[in-house]
Formats: sequence, structure tokens, C-alpha cells
Amino acid sequence: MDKDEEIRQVIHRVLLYGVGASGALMAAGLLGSPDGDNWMRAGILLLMATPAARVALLAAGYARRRRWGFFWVSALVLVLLGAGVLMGVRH
Amino acid sequence: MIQGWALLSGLAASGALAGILGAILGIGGGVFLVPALVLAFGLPMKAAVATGLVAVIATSSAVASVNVERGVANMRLGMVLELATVAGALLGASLAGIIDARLLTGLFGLMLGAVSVILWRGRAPESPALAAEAASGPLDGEYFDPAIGRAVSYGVRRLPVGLGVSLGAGALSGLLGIGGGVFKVPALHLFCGVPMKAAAATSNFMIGVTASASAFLYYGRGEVLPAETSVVVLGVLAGSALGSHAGARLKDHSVRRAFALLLLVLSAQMLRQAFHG
Repeated sequence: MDKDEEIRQVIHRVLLYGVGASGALMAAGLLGSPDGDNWMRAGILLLMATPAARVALLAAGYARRRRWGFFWVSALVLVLLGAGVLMGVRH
Repeated sequence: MIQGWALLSGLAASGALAGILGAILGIGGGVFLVPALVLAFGLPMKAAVATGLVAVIATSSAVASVNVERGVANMRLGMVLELATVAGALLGASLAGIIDARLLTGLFGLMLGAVSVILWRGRAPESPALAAEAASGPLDGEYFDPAIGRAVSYGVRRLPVGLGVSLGAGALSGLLGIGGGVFKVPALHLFCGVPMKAAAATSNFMIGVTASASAFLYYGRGEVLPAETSVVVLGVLAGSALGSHAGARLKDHSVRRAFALLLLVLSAQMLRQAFHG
């Protein structure tokens, strides 16, 4: 019935821990630890990475199941996201 | 730095609202968060856009962490459409600052108004022949809907239209700090044949990817304010947790009509903003 079951379970856990951790970092930063700014930035950057992690896991899952069409689509999206990161880093 | 509990709780509440609506309707919340940040909280436009993008990522990832298991989101379709959306987002983020924001806001408001009317009326019931022809492609989807207690199966049609809308939604995302869900959900439902709740879930999956494309650009340019963004995000996380649980029991037509109403409100807000500046 459902085509992506196994991948979904992995993605679920990665997102849950990723989002949870980023929220914790942000909260810690806000609550006034001396390095507050850096904690918050770390949390924000971690959060910003979660969508790419999702796409990467999907790509890996498609490759494992030899669904090459969707693998290449996901890989290309990742490349574009990487371009976005590079464009940001260049500043 | 943030000053005063009023500002703090206002930011958190705005984030929470974005999270609740995002979870139920498949949007990121940027469409009302960004104007609220500028108008009510006095953030500069670029900082508001940057916060909006991060909030969209938060809504997307938080909601997905819960409902990706339910299998309602069509990730294969989402991935294909994301090719167009992310390309559009990179373009939009690069052009931010060159295009007149008020003109964009006005156009945006008009489009939202039109979509709201079309969406309220919904789509015509499709002929069995069309439906049968559609439900056999690699992008077709199937999921269990707890609101009606059975599995729903559908095929995806008019992919080129979906791609076109995605490209445009991506560009607006990079320019305005939104996720693009306000266009994607109606397009998926009205043109591509995706049931409303699946359209919302698929959009929710996609908007995080879209927003992250431009977010790094804004971060690199130093436009992300850590404290304000963190407060909004924590609000979003709380709101989306609430919305995820509440939304599962809603029927398709309730979601569609609620969405149409939201678009109408946003349209009015945008048009007002475009005229008053």
C-alpha cells in the first residue's frame, strides 16, 4: 500500500531529534547563558539544515530501492540547496 | 536585543499562530508573520523576511516530524515540484532588494484574493474515466484519512502547471520570506488532482526545503536576528504540536474552506499594506 514506509520512519526520527535539539539550543541561548548569541545561532543553523537532511535521506532511500528517477530528482534538489549554502557563505 | 515582555510574548504568540495554521493548512506562516514582524514589531523588512524563512522551516520540520509517519504527504511529487521551487527561490533571494516590495505585495494580494474565491468553490467532481486514467502513474498517492475512516487513493495530473506554480512560489519565497504554501496547496488541489489534506501535507513537506534554499543566503548576509528568530521559532514549535493533533480529525472540505477564508483575510491585509506602505 504505501511506497515510502521505511524511509518515513527514519525521516521521522531525524526530524524529531533535529528539531528538538535546535529548539533546546535556542531556548538555552535565550535564557541568558553567557554565550547566548552563539547557542541561538547554533540552534537556528541546525534547524535550517533539517530540510536538507530530509532530502538527503529520501535520496539515499530511493537509491537503496533502485528508484533511480526519484534518486536523481532528490540529488538535484540537494545540489541546488548546496548552491544556496555556497551563495550564503560567500558573503 | 529584544526589549520588554510584551514584545517577547507577541513574537512567541505570532509564531504559535503560524505553527497552528501551518500544521492544519500546509502553509509556513510567513505570509502573515512577515507583515506582522514589520508592522507590529518594527523589524526591518529583510530581518522580517529572514525570520519568516526560518519560521517556515520550523513549521515544516516540526509538523513533518509528527505526520511524515502517517504517509499523507506525497514526497515523490513534492521532490519533483521542488526542483522548480528551489530554482525559483534562489532567483528570488538573489533579487531581493532590486524589486519594489510594495508592488510585489500588491500583486501578491490580488492573486491571493482570486485564489481564495476559486478555492472556496472547490473543484468539480471528476469523471470516473479521468480518475482511472490518473491513478496509475509513479507520482500517485494513497493514504489513510482518520476523518473519514478509510484509505484515499489519487492520481496526479497536469504536472507542468504544478511546476509553473512552484517556480513562481519559489521566487516569491526568496523575495518575501514565505514558504509558498498559499499557492502550492490550491494548485495541487485544484489543478493536480490531489485531495485537500494530502495537498496540505505535501505542501508542508515542500515549503521547508524551499525556505532553506534562501535562508542560508539571508543568514550569510547577516540578516537573521538570533533572539527574535529564536522566540518566534519556539512559538512555532508549540503551535505546530497543537495544530498537528487537532488537524488530523478535520474533513477535507473543512480544510479547504478554512484555507479559502485565510487567503481572503491575507489578501485584504496585503492590499491594504500595498496601498498604505
